[in-house]
Amino acid sequence: MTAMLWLPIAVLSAGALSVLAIGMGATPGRPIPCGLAKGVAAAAVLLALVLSAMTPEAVRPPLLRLDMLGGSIQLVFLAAAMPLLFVMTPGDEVPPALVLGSLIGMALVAAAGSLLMLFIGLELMSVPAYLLVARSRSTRAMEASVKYFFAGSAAGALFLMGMALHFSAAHSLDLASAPGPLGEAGLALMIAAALFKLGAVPLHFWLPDVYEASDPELAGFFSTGLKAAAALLLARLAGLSQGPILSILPWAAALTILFGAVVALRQQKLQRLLAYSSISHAGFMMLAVAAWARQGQASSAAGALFFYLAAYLFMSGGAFLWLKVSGFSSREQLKGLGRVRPADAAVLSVLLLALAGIPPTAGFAAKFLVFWEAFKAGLYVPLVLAGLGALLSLGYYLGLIRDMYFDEPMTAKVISEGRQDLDTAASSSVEAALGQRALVAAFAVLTVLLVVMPWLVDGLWAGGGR
Amino acid sequence: MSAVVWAVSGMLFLLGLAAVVLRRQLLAMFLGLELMVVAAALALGHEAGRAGLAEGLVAVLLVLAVAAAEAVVGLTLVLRVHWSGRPTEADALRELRG
Amino acid sequence: MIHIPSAVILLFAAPLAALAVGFFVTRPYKPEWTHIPVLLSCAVVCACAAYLAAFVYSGRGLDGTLFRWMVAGDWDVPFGVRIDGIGVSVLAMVSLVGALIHLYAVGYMKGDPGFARFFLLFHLFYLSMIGLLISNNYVQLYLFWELVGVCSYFLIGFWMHKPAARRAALQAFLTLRVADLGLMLAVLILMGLYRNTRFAALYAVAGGIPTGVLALLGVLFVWAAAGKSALFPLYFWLPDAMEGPSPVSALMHAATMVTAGIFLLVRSWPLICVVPGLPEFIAVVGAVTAILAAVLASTQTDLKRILAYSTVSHLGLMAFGLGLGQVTAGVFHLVTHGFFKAVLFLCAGILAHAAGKSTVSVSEVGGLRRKMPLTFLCFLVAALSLGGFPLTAGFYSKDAILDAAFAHGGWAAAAGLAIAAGSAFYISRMLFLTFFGSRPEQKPIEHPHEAPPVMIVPVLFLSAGAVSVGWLGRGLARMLGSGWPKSVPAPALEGPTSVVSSAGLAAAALGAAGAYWLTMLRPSWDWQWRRRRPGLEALFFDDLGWRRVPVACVTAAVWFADKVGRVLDRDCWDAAIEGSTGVCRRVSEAGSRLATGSLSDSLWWVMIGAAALLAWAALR
Repeated sequence: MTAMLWLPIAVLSAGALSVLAIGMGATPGRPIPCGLAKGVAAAAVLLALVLSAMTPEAVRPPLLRLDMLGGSIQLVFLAAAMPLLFVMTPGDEVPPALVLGSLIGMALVAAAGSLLMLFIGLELMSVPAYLLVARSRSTRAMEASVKYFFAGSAAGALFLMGMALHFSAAHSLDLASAPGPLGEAGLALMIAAALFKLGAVPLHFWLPDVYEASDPELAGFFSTGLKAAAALLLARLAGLSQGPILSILPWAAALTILFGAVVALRQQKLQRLLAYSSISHAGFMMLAVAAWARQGQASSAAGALFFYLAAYLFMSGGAFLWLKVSGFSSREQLKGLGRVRPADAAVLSVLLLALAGIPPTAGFAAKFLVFWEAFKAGLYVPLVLAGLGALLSLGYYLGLIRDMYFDEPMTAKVISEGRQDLDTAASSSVEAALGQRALVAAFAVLTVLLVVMPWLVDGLWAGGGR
Repeated sequence: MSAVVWAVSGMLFLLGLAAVVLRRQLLAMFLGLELMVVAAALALGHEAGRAGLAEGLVAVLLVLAVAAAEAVVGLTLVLRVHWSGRPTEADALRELRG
Repeated sequence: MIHIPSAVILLFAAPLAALAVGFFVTRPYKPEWTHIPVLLSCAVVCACAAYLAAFVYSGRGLDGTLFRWMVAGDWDVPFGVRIDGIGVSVLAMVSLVGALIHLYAVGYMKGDPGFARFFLLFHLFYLSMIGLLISNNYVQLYLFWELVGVCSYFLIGFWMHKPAARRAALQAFLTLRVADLGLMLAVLILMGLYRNTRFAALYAVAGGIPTGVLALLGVLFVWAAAGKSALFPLYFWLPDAMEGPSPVSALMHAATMVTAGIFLLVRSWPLICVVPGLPEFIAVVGAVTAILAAVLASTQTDLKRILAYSTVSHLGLMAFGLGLGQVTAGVFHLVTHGFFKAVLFLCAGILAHAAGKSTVSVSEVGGLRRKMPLTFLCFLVAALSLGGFPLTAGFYSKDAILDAAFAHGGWAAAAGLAIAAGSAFYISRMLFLTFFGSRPEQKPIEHPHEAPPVMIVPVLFLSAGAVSVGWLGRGLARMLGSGWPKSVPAPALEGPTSVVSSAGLAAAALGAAGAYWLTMLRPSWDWQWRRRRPGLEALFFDDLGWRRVPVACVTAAVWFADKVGRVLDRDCWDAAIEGSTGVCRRVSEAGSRLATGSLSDSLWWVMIGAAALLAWAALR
């Protein structure tokens, strides 16, 4: 059974190596078939996905441990990579390999049974991300990757110090609680690193820059896949906590939700707006983790976390994909879209409503489940604050929808004011392939259909659970 | 003995922290990062040796390997900044804000 | 499972069926036939009521659930029926009087464009009253109570084009609303404390309920009853409610709706009588109402208003009797009053109908006894009954109450005699002014004619009842005994002692003689004092100043609501809403400014976050 655990990781590694091997066959005259590279990568991910889905039960060798929570979230981040691989336009074979490398790191986090594994997984999933950000060739992307690198490495170093403290208290790197003040201090540092990766306030400052400067589909992968892995990391660490950290986690979650929502209100650049919204959603994930840890790691709360991540995959992934497909970057360009391009506007509206948590979308079901778990765990005041944050977030989600349907399209304004610099809705020259548009539409549809998923989650978890 | 090691480790860590947070030159900040990693590895190794646990020593090895890989990536990125003509300083990279 | 006789089901089903047929079939197509299903239903209801009366008289009783109406956890509100002595006696009166008034209304409302609407509303009211009488728990009673109130609103304001009618309807509705609050609170308290509002259950535990709770409940019941049954201080809507058509006044404001409050008190009697001082309080309220209303009735000029104040006075008398412990006497008077007051109102309606208006004043009538002999006969019989002439129904019931008053002694006896004298006075005054002797200041009706048969026949029947019902006194007492909890004594109705009878007769004779002297022997007196002292007349019309009080209350309430509304809504709430967007914007700006774009700053924040977490872990 141990072998089953390694299989997805082995498949991903083999895929990464093959992609790199494809690149080795390139010469200046014969460029690399990027489609082939992407295809191989996608096949590896798909295979890993299938294998993961087939590994249901908990297996416990010394370094690796897979349980329902890890296994299900593994499905989420593997699935998050698929749209990225489908849509990305890499210059050469390296980006797909980088994506696979990041996935390997995430898989290690999912199957980690030891703090060492967590650390290696954390670093392994972050480093390719730094490079992927830098790949988008603008100066802004370069700046974002530098910022991401430094902050991320600092967080990694904190994690390492925490690990050292934990080891000195527990004399073991297994995923078990460490007694005493040293253990708690170590856990605090490690959780700080996990919160950084998740984008919690006040460790979030890298996130808007990175999401704004990357290609939209990459930002989508970060917001869905990387965040899922980060949430899992936080969950693993929170499960070790004896008390103090657990008591601050719900408040940190509430702060994150509120801060993300409030600052998103004034963003004009769409990717940055979605970044702050992503911060706010991360707060909900933190709330779910807090509820899970407080309820003695009950499986229902784990199910709520999984469902939130799965729904978020479609909502946020779909939103970023939409941005890629439509080519818009500024909020002004959305004005009047409802009239000029009704289909696009409709799709985005569905995704925004899902992000806002309005029934009957999966976003509503996801938030509701998290609220319910928080209520059961007795986190009443953070729950109220989270609700307030959700309410505030309506300001920008509905504001975007209002811009699309109730404002004049930019064309008329541009012509009347004689400004030529903004890319307008009507004259946008980015024509995305039909397949990509279909994918975005599919995501939107799924966000609505997924509202019936919770019963599926129950079924999924009925067999396993910690 | 253990206290001394921990004190040294702590000092190195804080020095590295200070370098990361207070210095403006990217390379200096980078040095600080590495200092932090090394401090943690020092503490880890010491504890492992003291308790006779191979787990900790293996961890130190792997940590150093990871740090090295990270260094490669980080230096590449700093080089990128240099080649683009911008000064390799934290304050120069302020296009993304708000 | 208790066997529910089909008579009970029919009591509900027949009116419902009639309403359905009337609303869906006859009203759209043949409005002038709407009375047919309604009258048929009335007949069925009367038959059922008679059957149930016999049922109870033979010693049986019934308290069962038809279906479970509302259930939530351990809260259970059933929809059930309680067939016991009290309910059935009042039911018999209500159904019979109601049916006869329905018949009368066929003639009265003939030609009115709202004929169909009238009958449907009138029958809905009939059904609601029946439902109220046979409810077996407070929640259900409250439902029908409210339904009765709603119907009264529509019926008082039936002639919607008249602003006075609309105003009167609204006033009645609002006053009753204030009163109904008491009943609602009582129901909520009962539900909250005992999860159960069934009468049977509450009677059984009445001794165990804390006195404080019972006192509160009692006061709330009295408040609600004061509104519905026009006791002081909530009686002022009733005289104004005379804007409605006469059948409405007759049924609602004589026989049925106004008795609902007294009925509530009777149903709650096992709970009320345990509270020390509460029955006395009710008696005092009743006495004050009765005397005040009798005085005011003597000063009114509008026929229907005189009768309205008379109703108020008699309701006070019923409460008086009840408060003295004579539940049986109170109910007896309720039943007899239904008959004779209905006759009086219907006669006033005939007079109005003859004049072609909705109501007439004393200056327009006079000496009509020759021109409208049947009406005169009925009115006379009913007036005698009201005044307490021997052998009439009113005599027996009033004397029963007087008996209790004398037994109580002192002030009660004096009050009882005063009420007897006053009732005799104002009704004799009305009789003499209307039917005897023309007077110089009159502007008489043109062509007064006798009413058509469809109107006069029911009145004749009712007059017969006004006389004969009194002879059923003993049977009534026997019936009332059934369904009454053993813990509370329901005193039987013995015949009044001769002392009481003579005292009562003397008082009545005194009143009648006084009226005769003032109206017949000094014919213009009634008119002259008004001319000489208009201020005095205005004072009486103003209910001796009492009318100012509710007006002042309403004004104060409106002022308060305006202040609160304006301050809270505009200054606090709106400002908060508008302010919050500003706050949001400023916080948003501040948060955004935190992201300076500097790498060092971002790293600072990472360290601060980690340090905070560390500090938290260390401090705990």
